[in-house]
Amino acid sequence: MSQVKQNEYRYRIFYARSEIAAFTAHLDLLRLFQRTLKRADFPMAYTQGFNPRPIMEFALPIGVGIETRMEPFDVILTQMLEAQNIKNKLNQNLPNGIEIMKVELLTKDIKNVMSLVYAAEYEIEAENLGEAVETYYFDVSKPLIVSRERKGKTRTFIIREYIKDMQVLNQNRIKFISKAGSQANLRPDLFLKSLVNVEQISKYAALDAIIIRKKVYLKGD
Amino acid sequence: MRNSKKNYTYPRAVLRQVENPAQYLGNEWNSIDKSEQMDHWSKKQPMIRFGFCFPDVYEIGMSNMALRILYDVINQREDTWCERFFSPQGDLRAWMQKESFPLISIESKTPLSEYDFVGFTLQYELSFPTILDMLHLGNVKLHSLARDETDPIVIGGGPIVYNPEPLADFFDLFIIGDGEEIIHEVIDLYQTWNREQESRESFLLRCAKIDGIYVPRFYEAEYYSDGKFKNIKKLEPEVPAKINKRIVRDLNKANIPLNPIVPNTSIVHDRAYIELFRGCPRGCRFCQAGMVYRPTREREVDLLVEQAQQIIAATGYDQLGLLSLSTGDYSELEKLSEKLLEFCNEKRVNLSLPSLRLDSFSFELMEKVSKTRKTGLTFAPEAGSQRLRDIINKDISEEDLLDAARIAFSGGWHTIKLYFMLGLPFETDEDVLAIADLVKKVLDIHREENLNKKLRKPQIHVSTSFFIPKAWTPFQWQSQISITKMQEKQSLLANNLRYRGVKYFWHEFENSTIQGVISRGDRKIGKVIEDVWRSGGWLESWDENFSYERWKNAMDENNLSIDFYTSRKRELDEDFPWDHIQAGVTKEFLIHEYEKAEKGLITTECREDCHYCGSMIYQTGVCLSHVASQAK
Ligand code: SF4
Repeated sequence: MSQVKQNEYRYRIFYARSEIAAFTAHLDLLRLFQRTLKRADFPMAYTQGFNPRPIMEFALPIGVGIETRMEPFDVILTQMLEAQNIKNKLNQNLPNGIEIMKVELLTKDIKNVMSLVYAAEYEIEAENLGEAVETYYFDVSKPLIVSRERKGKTRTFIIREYIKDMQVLNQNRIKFISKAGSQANLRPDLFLKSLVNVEQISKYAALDAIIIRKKVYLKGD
Repeated sequence: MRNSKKNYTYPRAVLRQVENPAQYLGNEWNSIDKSEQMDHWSKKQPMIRFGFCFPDVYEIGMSNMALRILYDVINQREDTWCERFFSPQGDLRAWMQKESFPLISIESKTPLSEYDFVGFTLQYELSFPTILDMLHLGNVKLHSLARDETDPIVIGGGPIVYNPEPLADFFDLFIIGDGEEIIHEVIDLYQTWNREQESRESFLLRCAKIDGIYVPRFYEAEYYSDGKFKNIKKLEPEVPAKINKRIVRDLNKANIPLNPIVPNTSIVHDRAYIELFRGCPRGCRFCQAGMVYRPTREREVDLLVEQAQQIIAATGYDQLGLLSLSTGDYSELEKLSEKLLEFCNEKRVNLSLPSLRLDSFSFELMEKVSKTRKTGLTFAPEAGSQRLRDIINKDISEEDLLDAARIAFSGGWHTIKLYFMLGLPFETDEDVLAIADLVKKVLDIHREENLNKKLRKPQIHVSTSFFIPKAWTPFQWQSQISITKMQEKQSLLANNLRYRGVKYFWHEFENSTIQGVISRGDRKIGKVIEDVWRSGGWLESWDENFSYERWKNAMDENNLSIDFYTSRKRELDEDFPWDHIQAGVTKEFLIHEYEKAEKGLITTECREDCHYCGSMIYQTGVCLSHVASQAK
């Protein structure tokens, strides 16, 4: 293990979560990782101020009920550790259902991971979803919008503007890439809702869907 | 039927519609999964399944120390797997009822009815309807007498087990006292139970002979025609007439959970805990815990520090709490806090201190701990006047409190929380008004200190709760004030607390009354609890779920009067439904304390003098120092 005393080292960590861990809320997940890092006893860098917290940044919030396969977050350590070592030690300290897939030490162009996100890839399985996409989504003459209310304001999403690379895998399964990040972001549940609105899939099918975020696209990848 | 491995899962669609689904799913760090070991056990001798139930929701139950301890103690046995059950929230519960989906464990998602043991911790009276709700959701028969050889053994224990009578019909056995040793004896005995040759009844009879175990079905309560309790009759010659509390004598050797579960979702007290001591040396006369946890037994400093380090390393918590009835009374608090602070600073862990004593050392300590943050300070004088504080034996003087307020204000604290009780025995209007006076004096101190040095505006939070007479306290004979009187006292105080900077928080009175009914209830109250549950009562300790009407109706339907249980003053020679559950202190001692209260005489704390409360028989803790001095 090579350890060089230096100030700050930014590591990008990629995790997967399976169904049993998919229902942990975003903030709870943040705390879960903070405790895992503490158990692993890494030399974490802390925030300044009243209530110092270990520095940890998620690339993109994750909704309750969504699995992930390669989801990035950044941590900053005050000593350089071997990436493989970090990965192993974290995996020894993580609860069931969450696994670290990859750890990278960032060396050049170090930017906050959140600012780099521009798209995400999803795979969704729900009753008749493939068919609905085939017959409805691909027929661009048919409208597909959804609106969402937040803090009294209504926002309308024109679904197709957010999605590229839509693929139908079988009758129930699809895969697509959607815009993600702070500029423009489409949540997969809203996509499903848009199809429920036009009665292409049932409400229950949407609620019971398996939703997997397979990848988050970062600028410069 | 046991170990049939019928595991359930909640449908995704349901999980997506309920609030905070992670609370039902387990898989937390340090939670125990023995599903693989289970396969190694034979059909003839299967692994024993213990369902530990907390009759409230996950976020409340998970911070409970009894749960943490027993989960650890039971799971250390190779032959047993202890798993957790909590009450579902309303949204999931409604779905479960609609779909007849059973109550399942957090770990293996197995229905409650498949367990060998179902153990409930009894923490507060208003959780009792939830116990019935969980049994029902878990398809376990409510009544002990209705269960047969295929049903789980339903066990109760915990801080309010010292009057178990209202629950007598529903439980197969109660553990009286510290559970961590007895539970092994019960499980060991269970291993010898051959269902084909021995009835459930006869197995329970064997349990009844374990010291500290109470099997209510072998006793029958008799009443006078006016409804008063007459006596308890043994139905089996072999069971003990009185059941003695069992305690863990040496806490230094007792198990403590070094790998507590780290929840995946936030809970009320989400931190690591060390238990400094059990019991309390002070003897406040209203306090049940102070009586039934005697004698005070401490853990050693070095052991505690070691445990704290291990727990932090095993959990990754960044907060450490100290647990005991009156932490400030720990005899080596200075040494302990020094060592803990050193380690906490190094590991970036926040040490959270509960309310301490009002001396200068405590302030120095708080200075060190809080450094930059000066959040509120909490004091609990409990009564406004010295007269009443003497009656309840609360050893805080006005001078102590005002001195403390002065140090606090000049030290930069500006929020002070003050806790009081209303409706205490022998309380007059003057005593209530004395609370307002005391608050005024605290404000005056702020004004004085503000002349020396510019201070932030004071914020005084005054909270009152209502005194509820509890079994096994010197006030168990006392009457509880009526709802009308509660209202009067509360408005009297509120009208006299109209100062700038003072906020008054009060308590619901109706649920204090119902708590009063249950805490000194007899077996007849069991039917009331059942009726309340049948008419929709559940999670009654949540204000939004509590319905006084429901309780009132259930009392009426059973021809029982609320006043009979609450405001009726008991004579000193009245026999009580809980007299056969020996909590450690003798009735003579309680009577003596009651008479001293009447005269306004205080009783010094155990470390100064022994008052022969009866706990000497345990030959441990603080009592030992007096044995030694007597021997000299
Ligand atoms: S026997 Fe004496 S020292 Fe022991 S708990 Fe009772 S009063 Fe305290």
